[in-house]
Amino acid sequence: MKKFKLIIVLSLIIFSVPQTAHAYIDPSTGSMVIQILLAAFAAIGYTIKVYWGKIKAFFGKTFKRTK
Amino acid sequence: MISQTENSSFRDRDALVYIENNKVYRKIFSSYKENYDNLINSGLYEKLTKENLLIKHIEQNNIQENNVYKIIEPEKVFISYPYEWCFTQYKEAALTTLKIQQAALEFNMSLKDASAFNIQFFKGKPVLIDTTSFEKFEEKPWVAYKQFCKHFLAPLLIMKYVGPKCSKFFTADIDGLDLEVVSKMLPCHTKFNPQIFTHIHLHSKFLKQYSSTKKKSINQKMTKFQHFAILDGLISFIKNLKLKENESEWKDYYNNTNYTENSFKEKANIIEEYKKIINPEKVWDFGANTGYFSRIFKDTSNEIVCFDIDYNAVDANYKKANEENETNILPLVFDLVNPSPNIGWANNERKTITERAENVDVILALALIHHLAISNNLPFNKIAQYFSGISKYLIIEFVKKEDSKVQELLNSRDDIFGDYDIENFEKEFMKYYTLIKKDEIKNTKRIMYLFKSKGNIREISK
Repeated sequence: MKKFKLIIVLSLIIFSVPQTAHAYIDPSTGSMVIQILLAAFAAIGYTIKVYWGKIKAFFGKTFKRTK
Repeated sequence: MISQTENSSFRDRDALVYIENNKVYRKIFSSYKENYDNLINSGLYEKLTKENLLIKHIEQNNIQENNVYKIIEPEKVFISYPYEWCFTQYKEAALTTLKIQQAALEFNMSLKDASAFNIQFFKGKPVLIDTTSFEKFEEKPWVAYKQFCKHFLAPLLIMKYVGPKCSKFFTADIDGLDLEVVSKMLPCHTKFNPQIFTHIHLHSKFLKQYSSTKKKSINQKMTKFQHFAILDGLISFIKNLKLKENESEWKDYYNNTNYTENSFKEKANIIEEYKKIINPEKVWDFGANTGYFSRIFKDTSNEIVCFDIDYNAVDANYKKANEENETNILPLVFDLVNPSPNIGWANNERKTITERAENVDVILALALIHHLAISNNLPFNKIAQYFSGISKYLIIEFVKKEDSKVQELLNSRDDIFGDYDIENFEKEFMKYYTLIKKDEIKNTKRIMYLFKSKGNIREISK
C-alpha cells in the first residue's frame, strides 16, 4: 500500500505543470490528490453517460447487420 | 449614515460586505475587477439570476475609495444557517452549489469557495448570495472541493446515516465538519459506496497523509471534462440521498391533538381575527410544526418564518411550501430552549436568532407554553421576557393544567409547577405585555391571547 502511494505521488510530481493559484481558502494537497485520482475513473463513466445514445445506436446498427 | 461591516466578511480579500441604513452592500475591490467583468460580460450572471441560482444585485454609483472597483447592492435575504436546515433544504442547497459550479464551468469560470454560508433561502429556494465567488477557470483541481465535502456532503451523510440532529455539529467548527471524525462516525458499510468511500473515507486519509506535502509539488492538470465528470457523479449521488422516514412524535401531530374539528376551526378563526387587528408583515411562528396556523398569514404577510424542533415536521413544511409555491414561507429547524449560538471569530460571525430579528411584527406561540414551562421548567417570567424583546405582538395559547397533553407531560414526573395556572400566566406576561384580546377556545382547556409588547424590540428604521 505504501509503495502504491509512493508511485502515485512520484507520477504526479513527474507530470506536473506549473500553475498559479490565488485561492483565499486552503484547497489542501490531499484534496487535490483525491480529485486527480477520481478524475480518471469519473471521466470513463461520464463519457459513457454523455455518449450513451451514440453507443446504443452504434451497437444497434452492428447487431442489425449481423442478423 | 450608519455603516457597519458584516462581521463574517473578512476571509475573501476581493470583497467586503457591509450594512448601511438597513441595506446590504458588497464592496468589490480592484483585485476582483477582471473576474467581476467576466462574470457579467460572459453571460454567467444573467444565466444564474434567470434560473434563480444567484442573488440579483444593483450596481451603485457612489464609489469614493481608490481601491474599490464596484459597489453592488444585492437583494436582502433573511439569514439562516446550515445547522438550521432540514434534510431537504440542505440537499437542495448542496445541489444548487454544484449546479452553479457546472454553469460556471460552461462560461469558463469556477467557484473559488463552496461555503454553506454562501447559500441562503430566498423566496423559498436556495440561492448563492456571494456574487464574488467566481474566478477564471484553470485546468487544475477544484479549489473548493474540500470545502464542499466539509460543508455539504459530510453533514448530509451524517444526517442520513447517524441522525438529522448531527447537523448541529457544524456549530462546533466554523468551516464545516471534520472529515476524519465523520469517516469514523459513518457506519462501516458506507465504505463500500464508491462516492462515500472517495469523498469522505479516502479523502480524510489523504488529507492526513499529505498534510505536510507542499502544494506546489502537486500540480497535475485537470481538464474541464474531468471536472464535469466529478460534478455529475456528485449531483447524481446527492439527488438520490433520502432520509429514513422516522416516526417522530410530531409527524401526525394534527391527527393526535386535543381539538375537535369545531374547536380546531374556532382556534383558526380566533387567529384570523387577531391577524385583522394587527396586520402583520413579518410573522415568526415558534413551534410551527408543519405550519398549518402559520399559513393563516400567507396571503397578507410578506415574510413568515416557521420554527420547529422536529426535522420531519420542518421537512414536511418545506416540501409543502415548494409544492404550493409559497415563496414567503421559510421553515427552519430550531430549538427554542437552546437556539443556535453566536459562533465564529469573537463569537460574532454567525448570529443567534434574536440578533436576526428585524421588525418582527408578531410571534405565534401556539400549543407551546406547556412544553416550555413544564417540560423545560421555564418560569413564565423568562418566557415573557424573551418573547417581548423579539416582536411587537404575541399570539399565545395558554394550555391549562387539566388539558390531557399537560397531564401527559406530568405523567412521569413530580408536579412541582404550583404556579402553572392562568392567574400567574397573566400576571407574569402583563409585566412585559399589554393585553389586547383574550378568547377561550370552546370545548377545550385552552385560551388564546393577543398581547402587545411593552419592551425594546429590534426595530430597524425602514
